[in-house]
Amino acid sequence: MTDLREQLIESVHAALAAQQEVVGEAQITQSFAVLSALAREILSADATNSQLEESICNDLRALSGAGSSLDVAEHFREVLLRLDQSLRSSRSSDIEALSNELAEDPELVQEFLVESREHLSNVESGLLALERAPDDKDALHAVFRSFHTIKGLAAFLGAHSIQELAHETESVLDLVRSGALALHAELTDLILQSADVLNSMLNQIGELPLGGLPRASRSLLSNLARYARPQGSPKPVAQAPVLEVPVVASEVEPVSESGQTLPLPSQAVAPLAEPEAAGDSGSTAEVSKKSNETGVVRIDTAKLEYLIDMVGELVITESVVRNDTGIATGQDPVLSRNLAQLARVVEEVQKTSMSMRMVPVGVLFRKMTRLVRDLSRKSGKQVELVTAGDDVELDRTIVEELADPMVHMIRNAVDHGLESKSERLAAGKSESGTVTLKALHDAGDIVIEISDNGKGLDKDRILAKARRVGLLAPDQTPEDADIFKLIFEPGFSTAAKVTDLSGRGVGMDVVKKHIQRLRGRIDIRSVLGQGCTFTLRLPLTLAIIDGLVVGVGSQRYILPMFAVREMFSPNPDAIVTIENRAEAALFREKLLPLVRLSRLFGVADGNANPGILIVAEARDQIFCIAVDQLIGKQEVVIKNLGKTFRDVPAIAGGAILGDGRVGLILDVNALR
Amino acid sequence: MLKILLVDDSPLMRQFVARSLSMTEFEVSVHHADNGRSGIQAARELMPDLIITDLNMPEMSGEEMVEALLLDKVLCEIPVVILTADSEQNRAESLLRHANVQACLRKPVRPEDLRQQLERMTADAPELVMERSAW
Repeated sequence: MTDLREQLIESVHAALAAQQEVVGEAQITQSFAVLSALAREILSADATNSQLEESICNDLRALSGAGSSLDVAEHFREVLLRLDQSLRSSRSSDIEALSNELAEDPELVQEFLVESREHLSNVESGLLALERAPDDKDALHAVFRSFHTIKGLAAFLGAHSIQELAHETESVLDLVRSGALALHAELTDLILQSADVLNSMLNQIGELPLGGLPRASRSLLSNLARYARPQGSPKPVAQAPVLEVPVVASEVEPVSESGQTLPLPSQAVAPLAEPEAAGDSGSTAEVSKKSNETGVVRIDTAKLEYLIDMVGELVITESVVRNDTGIATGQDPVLSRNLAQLARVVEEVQKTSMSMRMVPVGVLFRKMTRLVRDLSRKSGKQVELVTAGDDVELDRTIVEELADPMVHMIRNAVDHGLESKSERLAAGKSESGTVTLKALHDAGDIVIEISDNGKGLDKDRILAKARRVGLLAPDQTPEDADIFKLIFEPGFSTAAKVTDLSGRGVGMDVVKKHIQRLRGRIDIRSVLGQGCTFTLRLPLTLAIIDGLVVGVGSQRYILPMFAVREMFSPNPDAIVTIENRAEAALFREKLLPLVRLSRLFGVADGNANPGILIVAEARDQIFCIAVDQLIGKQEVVIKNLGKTFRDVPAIAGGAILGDGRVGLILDVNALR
Repeated sequence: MLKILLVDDSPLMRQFVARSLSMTEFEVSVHHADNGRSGIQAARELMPDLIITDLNMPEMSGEEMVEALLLDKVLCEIPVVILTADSEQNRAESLLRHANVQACLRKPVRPEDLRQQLERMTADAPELVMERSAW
């Protein structure tokens, strides 16, 4: 019964379309033969199972008696339209009830977002893979399947805009899959664009109801439709927007129960090459991916953060217990063995919990693949992106925060670093330029290199520019390494349009600030004519800091190790007072400003005068910090100080030290 | 209680269909598989009363699974319902020639369609013990 009704809907569409299109009378006749046969069939079936509304029945009766000439077709146009309406609504009201129920379940909606976003990111990497290896059938199937799944899911939730766009895209990909259409660059652009639009639709869910998302732009839809239904190919009779395939029953007799076979409009069979055994070959890439994923559980990040926090507490408590004087001096061998065991377990737990917030940097690199592709298409330069060290893991927060600065640097590399094809050939280089992203571990840090083999930075131009905007005095000539650093100066990039320059200055100060906020460093190496490399040095995680614990009076402070350059015990006469106000210390024949923590925080210092001086670097300035004593180097888990103390200047957070005491972590940038 | 095996590579889609099934007022226990191959395996272990399957799946498609089930002396008895998107209507309907395929339903599948399907199934095979919760 339901099947019949579905068929009727499609036949009605076919008939309506046949009327609109200029097609032969024969075709309309055929459509109507199908229609009236179906109508009779439904009416007889419905006699026992009365589900159809009265109005539908009446229309059907009228139809079943219809002749099949062109006049009749004209005459029945209205009937058809009405029938179409009521059939649709009788189906859709049912589905609406289901959709509403599904859409009201926030967990299902959330999962829809997660699953769809995953599919879209697979689409992106799949398409990029296809650009490199166009014959990769598995990748193509996987891309197709992703749109297909999104469409199906969206239909269940009543997210019609998503369903529509995914459907159109899927139709295009179906043709690609069957070999009827080649996946050229413009088409890839279009499909990527549709993935982008789908993504932004997903982002609107929550603000807008699933059924109320704005439709994709008309131009995008019609561009897709142009590929999906090319002009040259025979137009299918049914051109209805939702149903592409008209009364297709091919070998199957739709009404076999009654033993009646329906004549089918000859052209009404699927318009284009049928996808041969589509989807049968399982994609190996996806299979291996799937098997990697087995046992993966998604966890709310808030829960994860809380767990990590609590593990931090556990580590601290363990260390407090271990260092308890009563226990440390105790003689019980069993107790100390058990404590040692506890310490090992706790350390393992901490390592594991830290690894849970780590993600491979390859996730980020893959996003850049898309960027490089787009930039390459826009600039007309041939660019190859090479990545290495994709598995290197980094704190999730850092990876997220790194995206913007990286986009900036890569854009600069392609726009300004790499030469045009002809320039490259003239310089004896390969036609296509290369941008390389590399991640590696180095001395407990993560190093990320972004390099290009373009023309490199031009020192003379940078110097000239710096002098022009007043960053340098006309007679000042810094050392080479310092010249490159000029591009990070705020005034350098914003002062003027940088078109005449190598252009690296665009927003580089922002990039640097970003990296510093992540407690990282950025360096440049460049050889004129050979290329330029930016090296980012970042901590593995933001949750732990490698700190130097210092004592001032009875207080403990923690200086982040990355800011510490050297420490020394000065001669008393190395410290000079300038105009009775500021102090400075003589260090390697340079006079450095001196900051006394005791004075800064108003704590009584011990008698250790002059104490210890720590040479620290912050914001490219070097200065000395005076403390009473060095206590040691320690990895500490950073705890924020909560709302109340968040804005205390020069304090970045707190940490509980091995002996259970609290130390404050210094914000070195704010000390100066 | 009807034992139903859902085969679809999208976990969420299986949830949707399960939800749709739960609206049929039939009491069902739902089991999952994410492609044709694991579907066959699950069918062998569970001997479900009905398999509801997608067509487009990695590794082994719905078509392949239907045919493989047919070739198995035991599993060929299990009725199969194909769930398809509108764009795959031909593919799905060409499967109706297989003895084990009962119907092709379109996504999003209406509880009403599923209910009719289950009703027909239980009427055809009265030995299936079933309890109806609501009426």
